[in-house]
Amino acid sequence: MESADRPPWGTEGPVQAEVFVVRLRGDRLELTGPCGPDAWYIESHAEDDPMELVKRLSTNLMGPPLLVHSTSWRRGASGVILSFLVVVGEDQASELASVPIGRAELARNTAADAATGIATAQVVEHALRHVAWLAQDDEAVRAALSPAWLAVLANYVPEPFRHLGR
Amino acid sequence: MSKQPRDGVLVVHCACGVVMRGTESELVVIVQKHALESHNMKATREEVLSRARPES
Repeated sequence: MESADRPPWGTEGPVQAEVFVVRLRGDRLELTGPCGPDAWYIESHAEDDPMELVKRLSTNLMGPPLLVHSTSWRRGASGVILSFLVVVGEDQASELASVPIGRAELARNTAADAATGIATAQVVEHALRHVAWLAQDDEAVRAALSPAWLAVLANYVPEPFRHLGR
Repeated sequence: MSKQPRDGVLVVHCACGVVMRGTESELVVIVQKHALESHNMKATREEVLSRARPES
């Protein structure tokens, strides 16, 4: 009777943040977070700055993140979903459930149309490729990440461009 | 937040997987705290109770 008659209560509204919390454990990236490895959803209201909101709630629940990156958006069932990647330290919020991150093909469509179906793994893949590029292009991002993190991200840089990085 | 059924205990399931239990007055506080701190949701007492079900 607990939940058979209605779905669990979730976030609603025209703008929601979808947060993927990632940590490096050893040489593997893991998905974790307040909802375990599942995407963490946060309502963003008119008075909220989504970036500040994600950073603040991440800090409150897991401690200060190493990196908060707004990576993509898409149309959701009730509005716009803003996707974020949050990087936490290896020993940060270690009590939270996690799963290793595998590789995925990106979701694609024509040059002028959004992909018609986007899986969670594809959003995470896109986010990590984006951060991999930033790690080469943005000193602040590079400085926030450990050498081990940068080594893992090198695998997310398209092969023809790897020699251009540091 | 015992997992043993108790008279008057209500349950709310959050989509993030968290299950919250308590008497009516306890549950409202627990759910409102979780909703705001984890999801930036400003839940009213009525909204919480409309989602609550007796613990089976």
